Amino acid sequence: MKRPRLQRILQTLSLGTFLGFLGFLSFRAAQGITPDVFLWLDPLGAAGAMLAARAVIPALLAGLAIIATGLFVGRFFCGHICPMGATLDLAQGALHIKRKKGAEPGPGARRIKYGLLAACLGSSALGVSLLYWLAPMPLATRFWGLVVLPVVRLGLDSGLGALRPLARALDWRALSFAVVPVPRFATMLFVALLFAGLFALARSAPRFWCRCLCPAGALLALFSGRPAWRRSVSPDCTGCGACIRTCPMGAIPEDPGATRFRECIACLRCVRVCPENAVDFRLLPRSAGAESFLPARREFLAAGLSGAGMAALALTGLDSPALKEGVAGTIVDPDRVRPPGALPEGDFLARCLRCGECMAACPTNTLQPAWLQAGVWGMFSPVAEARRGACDPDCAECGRVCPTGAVRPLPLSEKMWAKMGTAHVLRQKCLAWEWGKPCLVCKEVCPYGAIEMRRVDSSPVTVPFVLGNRCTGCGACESRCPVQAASAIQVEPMGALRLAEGSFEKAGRGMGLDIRRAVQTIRPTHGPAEGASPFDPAPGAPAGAAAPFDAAPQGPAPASFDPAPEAPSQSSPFDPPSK
Amino acid sequence: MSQRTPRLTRRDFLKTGAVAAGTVAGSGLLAPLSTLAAAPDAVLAKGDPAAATRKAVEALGGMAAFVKPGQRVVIKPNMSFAAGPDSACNTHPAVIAELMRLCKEAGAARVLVLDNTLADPEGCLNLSGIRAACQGIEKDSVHNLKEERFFAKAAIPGAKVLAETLVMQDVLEADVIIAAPKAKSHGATGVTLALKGMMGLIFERESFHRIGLDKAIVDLASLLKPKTKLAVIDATTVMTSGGPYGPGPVVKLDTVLASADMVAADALAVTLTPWYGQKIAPSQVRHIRYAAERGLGRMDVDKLNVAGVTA
Repeated sequence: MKRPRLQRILQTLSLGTFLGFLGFLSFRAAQGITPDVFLWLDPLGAAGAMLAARAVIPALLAGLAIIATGLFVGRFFCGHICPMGATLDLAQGALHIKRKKGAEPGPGARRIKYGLLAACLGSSALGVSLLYWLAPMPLATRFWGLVVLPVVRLGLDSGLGALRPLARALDWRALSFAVVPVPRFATMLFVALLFAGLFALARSAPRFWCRCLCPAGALLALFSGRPAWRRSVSPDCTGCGACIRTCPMGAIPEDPGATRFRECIACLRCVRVCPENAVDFRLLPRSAGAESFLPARREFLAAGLSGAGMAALALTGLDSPALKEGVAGTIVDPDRVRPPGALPEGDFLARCLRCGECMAACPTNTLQPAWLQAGVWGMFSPVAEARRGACDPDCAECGRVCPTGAVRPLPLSEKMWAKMGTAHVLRQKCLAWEWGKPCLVCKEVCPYGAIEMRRVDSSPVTVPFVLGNRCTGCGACESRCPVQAASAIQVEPMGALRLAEGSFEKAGRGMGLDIRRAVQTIRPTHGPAEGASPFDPAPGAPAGAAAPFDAAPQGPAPASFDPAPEAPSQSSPFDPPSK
Repeated sequence: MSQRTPRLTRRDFLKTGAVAAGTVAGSGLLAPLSTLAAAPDAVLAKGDPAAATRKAVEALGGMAAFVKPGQRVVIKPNMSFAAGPDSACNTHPAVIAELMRLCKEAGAARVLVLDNTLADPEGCLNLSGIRAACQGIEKDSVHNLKEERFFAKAAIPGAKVLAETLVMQDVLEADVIIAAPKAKSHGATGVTLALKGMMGLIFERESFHRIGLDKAIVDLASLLKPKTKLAVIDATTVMTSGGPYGPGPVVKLDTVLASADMVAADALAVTLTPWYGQKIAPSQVRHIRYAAERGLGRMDVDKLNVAGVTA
């Protein structure tokens, strides 16, 4: 059999580019270079997200353009460009999935995708996005980015580990210390199983998903009733049925001279297998060709209404994204910390395609797909899991790679002010507060100097206090707290700044925030200086700790040790002087 | 340099206080090296970071006294914070680069600068300036190791709280460790110097805060002490409170301190300047006192033979 070369070349290029973007973006070195333009192309993602968000999302106009291509080349996109289709083809070949005889989906099965499309659009029309269950490119991105990529990286890292003895023996430094970080993601098992199911459906028919389920394919099909460039069969056709058997989409009815154009992905296999060379794709006038199937209007409307019904449930649910945060009666899960620059929750969920792009690009692996932290309607959306890692102050990748602007692209100076939440100390767990042990890890790691160690009567050591107006909720403290299991300092989406537009800094300053990086160039003073003492005050000095970091230069130091404090005390990092 | 007593008494030393450290050579309290029979116990070298580092090591008998040709050396800097040399929270890159040069001159086969930092690994390597400073001397020598595979289990006989821990493989296999910390205050341990800095050579240090920070520091030091032939403390600028990364007052002492005894180096560093506005005796720093009590080194600074040199 001759290979359908054009399709394979395009698919390979397309999937390669898609994976290239994904793999590339997951390396720190790639930061700031390019967003993943592939995600802009999903027809359903584009239409549904704009509808749900009630906004024109410039990048997603590419997806609308893809819809328009239906008029000219039908579902060419499905056959040649879509990474989901390429993934399904690849899996079928790689896993040697054989079709079961007689398992062919019936004519009704092909209509399911129109129902799913209608349901997606119906919910989007009410401002609630359910696309993420079904939009193919976000699904493919999640599969490759959150399931396959970590496995590949684990393999690479294990390889480096295996090579290490050799590299050390030869003193190949760069190799011996090389590391490929391995991200870990929640919900990946679910995604893996979902795809296993989609792959298994190929036993019934190749590209079962594309034929029967894909709402993006359905949307394109609506515009592919009679594409300008389409299949035509010459009178040389003997009706042998070779093309019918080879068509992966079941787009050729019993009369091989006809074509179901809304199903045809223009893979050109029928052209190649025809022993008579009777099949061809060419530009044809509008009238020529067979009528093709459209979904029954009533079914379509019913499905649309059921989607709208789902949206209504979402809007009336206790976890409704439409509720305004901070208003009494609104419940927010304490674990639902959003990436910096995430739009206000309702807008955010309307736009977020759950593609996982931000999670794959996040260098610290703090961004995780949610299970239920964001409610049923927020499943798989990104939440920052500080215990896994902190949001890096020098990174704003999540906003840059987000295809829909659900997370706003921000320069670092702005991102700093996009407060994700506020840390608070769980004093009953804190080593310093509860156990009297000298610990200031949270203060050490806070990039914003938002933690202050103070002395309190109840503890022999200085204890941490969070300065709420300096805290961005990055989670550095929570990620490094040495207390086991749950951290003794935790970030909640308290005081999170969620702006649909405008400057985060301006809004933050208006709220009295004072966000700045902690480590700054410090001008040394000549001679001794004094800061807040962690000691007991010397006898005669006023009680209580001095104001922190109030550097008041002193005169020359006394010529001998200070007298020992009258009562030995544990309240300083130093022991009292011995005689 | 003038000639006076070879010994620096505690009273004399403290009288000069922080200023003395800055003017130690000119103060006439310290002996020129030629009058000392043997190498001093410790050296205070005044000058810019690189020159003072070289002078300090030379005054102890040169790097050849610590590093033999063909040996593997690990230098342990402070580079735990993604901040530049001016921040006074990482060892000055010139100090580390000069130590590396001295090791190479002494014929070291391999010199690595290793740390397991608190802050973002790349940020620390880049912003501290240490990677760039060393790149020209020995290629690919500065690393920030966080993956478990770079570490190997090490038992600590006689430990009080830390019976075993995962230590960098390259540290366990090294012939010589050079502690090269930044002198800083630290809210949990008072000061952070050579002993405390060793926490950057292990896989997991969070537990130290649970099991007892000071005892764990000394347990770890007892494991690494035999290989730690030299401690060179960067006291060119010292954050005297608010450490380990500030903000806090920083005094400029222009001093690099060196000793073959890491405990003595730490103890002497404590006396260079007031901390938190107070004079502190080395014995007041719990981990220094424990280390001295366990025989890892001396903290009797008043009995140390301290040489002063000017670069």
